[in-house]
Order: sequence, then structure tokens, then C-alpha cells
Amino acid sequence: MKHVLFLAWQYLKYHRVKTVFLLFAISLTFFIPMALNQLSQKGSEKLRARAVSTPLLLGNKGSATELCLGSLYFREPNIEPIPYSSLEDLRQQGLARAIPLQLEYRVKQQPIVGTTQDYFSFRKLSFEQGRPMAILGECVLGAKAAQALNAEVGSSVISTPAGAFDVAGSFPLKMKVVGILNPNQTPDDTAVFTDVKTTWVISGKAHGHQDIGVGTADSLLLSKSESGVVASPAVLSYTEITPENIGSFHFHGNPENYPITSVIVLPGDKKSELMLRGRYQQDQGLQMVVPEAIVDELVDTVVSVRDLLLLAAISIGLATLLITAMVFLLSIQLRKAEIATMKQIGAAPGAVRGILITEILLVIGIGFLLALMLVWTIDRLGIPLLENYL
Amino acid sequence: MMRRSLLVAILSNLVLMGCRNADKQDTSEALTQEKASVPVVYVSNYPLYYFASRIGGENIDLHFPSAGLADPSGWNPPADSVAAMQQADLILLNGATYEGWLMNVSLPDSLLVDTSLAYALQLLPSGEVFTHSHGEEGEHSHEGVASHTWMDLSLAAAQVRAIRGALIRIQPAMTDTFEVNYQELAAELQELHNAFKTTASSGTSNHLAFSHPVYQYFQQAYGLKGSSLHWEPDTPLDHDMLHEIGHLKNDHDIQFMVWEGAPLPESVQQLKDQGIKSIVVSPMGGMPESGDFLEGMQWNLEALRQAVGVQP
Amino acid sequence: MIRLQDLSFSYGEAGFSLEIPLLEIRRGSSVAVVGPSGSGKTTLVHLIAGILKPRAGSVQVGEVILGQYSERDLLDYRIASMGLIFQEFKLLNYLNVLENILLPYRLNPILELTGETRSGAMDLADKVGLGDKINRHPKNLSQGERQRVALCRALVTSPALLLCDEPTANLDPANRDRILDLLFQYGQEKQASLVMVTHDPEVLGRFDRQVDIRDYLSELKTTAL
Repeated sequence: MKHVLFLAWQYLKYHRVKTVFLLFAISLTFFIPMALNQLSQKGSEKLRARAVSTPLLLGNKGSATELCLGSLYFREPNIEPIPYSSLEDLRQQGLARAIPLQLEYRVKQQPIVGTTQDYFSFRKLSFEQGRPMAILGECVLGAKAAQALNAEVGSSVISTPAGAFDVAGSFPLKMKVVGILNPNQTPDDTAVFTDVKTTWVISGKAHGHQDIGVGTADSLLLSKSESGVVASPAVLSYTEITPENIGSFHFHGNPENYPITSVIVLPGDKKSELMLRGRYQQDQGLQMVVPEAIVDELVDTVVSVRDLLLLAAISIGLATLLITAMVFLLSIQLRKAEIATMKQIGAAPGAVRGILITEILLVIGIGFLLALMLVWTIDRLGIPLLENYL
Repeated sequence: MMRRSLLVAILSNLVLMGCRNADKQDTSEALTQEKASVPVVYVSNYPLYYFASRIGGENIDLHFPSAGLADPSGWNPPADSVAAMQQADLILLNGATYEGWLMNVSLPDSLLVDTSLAYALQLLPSGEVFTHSHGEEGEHSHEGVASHTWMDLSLAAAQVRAIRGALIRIQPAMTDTFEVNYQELAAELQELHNAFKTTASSGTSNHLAFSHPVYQYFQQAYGLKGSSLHWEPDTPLDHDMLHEIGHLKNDHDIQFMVWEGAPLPESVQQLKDQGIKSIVVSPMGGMPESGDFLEGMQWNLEALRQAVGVQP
Repeated sequence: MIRLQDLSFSYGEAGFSLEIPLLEIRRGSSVAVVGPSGSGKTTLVHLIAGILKPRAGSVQVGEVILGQYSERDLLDYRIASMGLIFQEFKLLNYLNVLENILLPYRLNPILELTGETRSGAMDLADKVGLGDKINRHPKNLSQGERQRVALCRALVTSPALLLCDEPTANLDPANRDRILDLLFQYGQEKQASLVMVTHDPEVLGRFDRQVDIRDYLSELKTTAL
């Protein structure tokens, strides 16, 4: 056996280029369907885990998928907000705890999640540094958000204005970073968490009556000298809440009408959950969705797409394997003389066949191992990339 | 030989030190654990502080961070106070918009107990209309809500019931103790409430002047008629203020000015010159310099007796 | 001792056959097989080696009558007792010199590759002047060097019979003589028989005898209809 292996290996080693090409082709043939499968499986697992851990979501009637994707993965919500009174009404029914989410704003690419303290215990988020937000204008960053914004505890971030012509839109707010969370491989890593009331300040629902600190972002200055400053046309003015002006800050209008994107609903028990779902089924303006069900639908779609892709990949794979088989056969043809020599010298029956088969098996085996290694690599590195994309 | 015994000595010392440190750690951990087993409760004004300590006693770790203020409703909580409150087991709020600072802070909803919730529908307007403008919006006004609920001792009793419920919820093992303490306090409040009612009804129903609009529930509970001003006890009376009180005197024949704190002797004299006597009915919002809540309300009762002409 | 008796082998396509009533080769002797190209010289060598089977008659090599052996036993016998050298050298281009020499040991479990055989192979390589090139591959060797490797491969199992099919056809005279010296030296040392197909008249003198294949060719009798 070892001689057969030796001779087969020597052949492959000598014809390096051909062997590498074959290895590449074979490993790809295995890798593509395996990776597809792995990615979609891991991807759907993650999607589902996030959804399963969120019993119910309350939001505006409209696309349940948008509601889920926005609330679970902090994608820009394409649904109308609901009034804060929806949350209070829900609470008063005494069947569930309620956590508001206000997802309208961003700090550059990072979503601002306006919520309450309860969110951290709900999602079991722990702090790497600092503490949760305590007063208006403070924020907590997810691990990736901190990296992306190059921020640390004590530094500040400014909410991004919705647009140059956003007249009635957002009022950029400079927020102080008081905590950074440990990474937990969920969309929470990318978020800038703040109290929902702070997001209402960004909406312009609160004012101070003394001089509100107005600052200008240095990065938007064209030049700065001792005598003056030349500002770019895109200069940003922002509001900042300080210990000096917080006393004069107050909200106007009725907070019951302030907007929130959705509410995470945590029913006390199954019976409460069913009661709530029943009650909101009749509601004209709101919907109560079960994220698990919505995401399952999404995953099913992903799976069927994946199945199609798998089919394609396997077909191409088979074609590749056929071509590979042809290459082997051709090569055997070319080695006729060599084979005859070995037989004439007195090779045992099956020895020559054994050598050729071992060559094929080695290439397929190593190719398969390579594919496995690539899949393992994808698992380690590719999954996080996919999450970012999602 | 020497070296070896030295090594042994050093090693054994290290081991012993380690043991001692471990012991120390053990005891200090034990202490912390002990403390940690008593729930941490925060309150936002003095009446809540008093009620909670009467019911909870040593079985709760009570904190009153705004104790230093004469009027805790104006408290501007610093971030570290809020951070500390986030770690508490219970935060008792007066409710009825008393805690203006609540909108500026981030506290877990699960910890908050609004002790006025039971009578949320019976809250009184403060009689104040705030008018202001924000930029281009033009003027608009809001009516305030009166927040000194405990001055009506029957509402205070409702707040005490809410506190009892909350404490039992977080420390069910002490239910019996809390119940006993509650009964005692409720009885005392009832007694005092009755005394106020009797005093108010049996006395003359003069129109009173109140230096500050903090007596709405007091007025309503005990049938006291009056008008509110915006005077501080330690601010001298100026021309406009004298003019103001002069008008009131003419319109309602004011006999008594109800101050929320000890007024300046000059002010007392000036009022006396107008035929108005001064009494102090403390709203008891902040930590009193002397005495406790019931004693303070007792003094208020004495003052009221003066105002309505009832003999003690 | 090699004996071919009443042997008949026909090439259907070529239209003639090989008929050998008796051909004996004494042990330790050297025989040159001569004749024009395509006349069946290689066939004779293949018949002796057992690679081809006669239509009739017997081939005896040493004690063994090849026809009585099973295919497997035949292969085993061949690899252990005979050394084959071909005209085109037929080295495996992906093995180095040493591994090419040791090839028979890897092709049949009847031969065992030990440290001893390995050092024996290295000695052989030394003997033929390739001692410092044992790690080279055939493409990096000259014609003469390659044929010497083929020679070593044939000799590594210490066969009693050497069958060579025009081994010096592609060599220059110097290399040719070198190969022949090595072959005859081995034959003498080990008392091995040497049967060589050759075209080259200059080497015939070295052999004990010559066999002309034309003596054994006959037209195929066709039954005309």
C-alpha cells in the first residue's frame, strides 16, 4: 500500500502545475455548494436567533417584514412611526413589559437606537467600559460602532442630519459617550444607544430657554488660522446638552404624541401573548407581529434561493468533475507506455491500477480537504462579513 | 542550610499573607453580601422618605439624593446620581409632575413606582399658565399640574399604600413587618387628617393669601379659600408685591398670609401694617431642619388653627 | 537454462508465424538475437519473458515452465528472476534515479524494499558512475546516463536472466561499449544468462552465439477458398 501511495504521490508532485489546477478545480467543486450551504445556514440561524429572542413587536400597520428588519437589525425603517401613547396603552393592559425603539436617526453609518435601560438587560448586553446612559444627551456605543466612529468613553458623537433640505427634520445633537458594550456578534454591536427621550431632542421636541451650546464640527472647516475660520458651505451646527443648560431643557407638546418606531413587547406568559396578539389583530392603526414567524418566512425565501443556487452549483460541479475525469483518462492514455513498462517489468496485477486510482483519490481527497478548510475559513471570517451586509 | 530555611520562611510568610488576605476578602465580601441583601430604595422628596422609612425601617437601604434642596422638585440630577439610581431596586416617585427632572434622565421603567397613580384622574391644575414661544412657532401656553399631593393627608395615605405595595413586592419576606408598620402610620395620618378637617370646618372660612402656589391639594382637602402669589419668604417685599397684596386685601379682606417658610421680620411687619398676620404652613417637600413629617404637619395644624381662629 | 520447445506463435495481421522446434540457451551464456526490423526479434524476447504466450509449445526458464504458471505467478517470477532493458529506456520521468532503480521493489509485494536493497541500489548507481546523480530526474540526464539507470533497474533484483531489446540502439559508441561491458561483467559475475536483440554488427563478436530469427519464421498457411 505504501509503495502505491509513494508512486502516486511522486507522480502528482512531479506534475505540479497540472496537480494544482486539478486540486483547485476539485476543491472549488466541493467548496461552492458547501460554503453556500454553510453561509445560508449560519445566516438563517443568526437571523432566527435574533427573532426568536424577541417575542412580539408592535408597530405601524404596513409591511411586517420592514417592521421586523428595522427593529431587529436596525435597518433604516421604511414604516411610519407610532405615537408613544401606544406603548403606554400597552403597558396599562398589564400583560407585558414594553421597550420602545426609535430608529429614525444615525450617526454617520451607525444607527441610533433610542430606547430605555430595559433594553440592555433584555438583550443581555454587558459593558466593556463605562456605564449606561443616565441623563439626556448621553449615549452608549456598541463595540463595532465605537470602532467605526473612533470614539471612546468621554468623547462625543454627533447625530447626522437627515439631509441638506431637511427643513422640518432632525436637529443634529452632540452626544457624550458614557459607555461601550462588549461585542456580542449581533446588530447591537453597530448601534449608538441612547434614551428614547434623547432621540426626541434630535426630532426637535425639546428646547432650552438659555443659550444652547452651538458648536461647529472642525472637520467641516476649510481653514483655521489665528485670525479666523473659513467654513465650508456644509458647516454643521449642532445642539449640545450640558450640565449648565439641562435645567432649562423642557419638552413641549404632549409626549404621548412623540414618535417611536416600534415597541419590543415581552409578555408575561403565553396566555398574555395570545391575548395581546388577539387584541391588536382588530386594531386599525397598529400591528403586533411575531418576529419569529416573519423571519421564518424570510429564511424560507433565502433557503429556496439557496436551493436554486445549490442546484446550479452542483450542476456546474458535476460538469467540473466530468471534465476532471476526462483529464485523468486522457492522462492515462498518454501514460500508456509507462503503464506497459511497469507491467512488463512484472508489476503485480492491480498494482498499476492501484497507482492510477490512488492518484485520482489523492487529488479528490486533498481537494475535498482544501474545500473543508476554505469553508472553515469562511465560517470564521465570512459570516461576520455577511452580517455586516445584512 | 541557611538559604533553604530562609526560602522556607519566605514561602510560609507568603502563604500566611495569602491566607490572611483571603480571610479579609471573605469578611468584606460577607459584609457586602449582607448589605446587598437589603433592597436599595430611592425617593424624590421628603414625604416619600418619611413614609418609606416608617414602613421599611432597617429592612431597606433608603436614599434621598436631593435631600439637600429646600424644594426637591427642582432637582437637576447629576449623571452619577442617575447612574447610582439605575442600580437600585426601587425608585419611589411622587408623581403628579413633581419630578420635572424625570424627562431628562434614563431610568429603567421597571424600577419606577408613581405613588400618585391611584388618583391620577383627580389631579388638580396648578392654576399656572405658562406662555412662551419657540422660534417661529409663536406663543403657546400650557397649564401646569399641581404636584404637592401629600398636603392632602388622604392622598398622602394613598401614596403610603402604594409604597407599602412596592416594598412588599421587592421584599416579600418582610410582608408582615411592613404591614404592621403601615397600619401604625396609616392610623396616625388618619388621625391628623381628621384633625385638619375638624379645624378647617369649625373655624371661620377666611380667604387666605398663599405666598406660593403649592397648597392646591391642601386647600381642596380642607376647604380653604385663597389666592396664590409668587413670593419667596426670604425676599423682601417690594412696591409691586405690596401693591399686589393691597389689592387682594381690598378684594377679599385677607387676614392671613400663609408662608411656606419663615418670612423676613420686615415682611411680617409690613404685612401687619396692612392688617395681615403671617403664619407658616410648610409644604414639607424638602428635608426639615428639625422634627419629622408628622411633627411638621402638626405645626402646620397649629398655624391653620391660628388662621381660622380655632382654639387649640 | 532456457528452452523453447515446439513453440508456435503467429502474428495474424502480419501474415507469418514464429515456429521454434527447439531453442536452448545454456545458463550463463550470452546470445545475440539478430534479424531485420519487424521480423519478430522482440516477440522472441517477450515470449521468453512470458509477456506473450505461444499458440503452442512450451517456454522453460530455469526450472519453471512458464505455461504452467498462473498469470500472477508469472509476474512474480518475472520481476524476481528476470531483468528487462528496453530500447527506449522507459524510465518513469517523475522518479529520480534512485527511485527508478528501485522501481521493481515498489511494483510487486513479492520483493521487499529494505535498507539493504536501498544501499545495494546506491552501490549499483555508484558502479555505473551515477553515484552523485541519484537525486536527479531523467530529464536532467544524458541518453547514456538514462540507459545506465535502466540497466541498474534491470540488475537491482539480481536476476538470473537478462533480456535486452536493442538497449544500445540510441547510444554513441562509447556509451554503447560501456553498457555492454557492464552487462557482460554482470553475466560473468552472477553466471546470469544474457539474451539481447541487437542490430549492431560491431558488437556481435562479444556474444557466445547468435540466433537469427529468420530461421524460425514461416509464412502463415492460409486456407484459400
